[in-house]
Amino acid sequence: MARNFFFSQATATAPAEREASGEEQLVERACSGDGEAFNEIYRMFAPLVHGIVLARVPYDDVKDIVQEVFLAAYKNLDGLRDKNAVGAWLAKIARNHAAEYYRKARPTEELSEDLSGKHNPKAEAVEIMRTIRSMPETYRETLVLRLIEGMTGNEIAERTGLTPESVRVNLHRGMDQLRQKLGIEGVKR
Amino acid sequence: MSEDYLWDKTGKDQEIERLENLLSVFRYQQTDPPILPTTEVVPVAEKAPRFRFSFAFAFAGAMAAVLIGFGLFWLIPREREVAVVGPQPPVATVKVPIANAPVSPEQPAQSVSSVSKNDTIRPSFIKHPVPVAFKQRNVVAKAGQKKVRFEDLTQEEKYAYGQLMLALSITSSKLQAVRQTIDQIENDKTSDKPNFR
Repeated sequence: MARNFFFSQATATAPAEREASGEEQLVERACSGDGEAFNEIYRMFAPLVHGIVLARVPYDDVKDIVQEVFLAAYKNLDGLRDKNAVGAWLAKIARNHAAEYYRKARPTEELSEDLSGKHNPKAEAVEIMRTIRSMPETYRETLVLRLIEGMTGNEIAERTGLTPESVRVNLHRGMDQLRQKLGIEGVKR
Repeated sequence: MSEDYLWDKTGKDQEIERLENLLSVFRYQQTDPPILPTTEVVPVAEKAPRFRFSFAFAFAGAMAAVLIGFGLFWLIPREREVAVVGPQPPVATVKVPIANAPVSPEQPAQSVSSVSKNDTIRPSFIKHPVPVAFKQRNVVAKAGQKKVRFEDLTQEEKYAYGQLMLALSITSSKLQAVRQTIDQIENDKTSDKPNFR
């Protein structure tokens, strides 16, 4: 485990540095009006933004907010100081837009009994999603990116700007809490 | 729980895989990037400097206008110059009654040096005497400036000058009459005032 931890750290920094210069170039090109460069940024970071918004906002509204986040990012691209930290910057914008969503006080709909039945896989997914949303922010964001968006711990660290250690801690503590809340008996360590 | 699988998906963990499968309905599905507002993208380096109104510019403009106004005010001579007949030194000071001038084209022009301040000039159709009480003042004739003699004036100019003097005389007489009326009223008031002592 210790060997894997250090190995994972080493593998986390190398791609990060490699992609950092690519990110910077993309941002420079996008700033100069290259729409294709911005589309590339969108393709790279859309799952991250989607996961961060999904951890806070109902699924039906997530797509719209993701588009709004990228449009806002495009308008304010000149204000990005560290052009190697696009992911962290986009994550911040996404969190702000998700908070703005609740400030607008949109009406919410409750699930019907049919959907909330335990034998309906989609209903079970909704229930798990609701449980994840009830968890602390740091855990739910990491869990959504890992379990729903399918990112590895390294990818989460690279995209969000967090350290791999923080991501690892958040993943394990969040997973433990999720198991407790869902009543799943975990594997004894 | 397999920590390796949770971290980098190596190994196997059935429970986490089951959760992943269940939650995959919420996973991001690739969509087209948003349509970018291309008209709003202007490279920063190529931005043309735009004029912006500022109060500093407005204040500077107002100050410049005031200075120009003062300059023009001081440059324009404020004293009317009077022609001096005959050869004169470059700068000469003579005492000239301003109101002395011919009143009609028919009346011959008097020479400037022969007019004294006690002379009364009036048109022939004005029967009552017109008081003339103009102050004398020093008029400086500067060298290099255009001198106009009364004889050089055209007939129309002489007539206009005479009409102007006539109007001034009439106005002066009217003002004198008003002044006398006011003085008389004030004298009447003071004489009728009761003594409360």
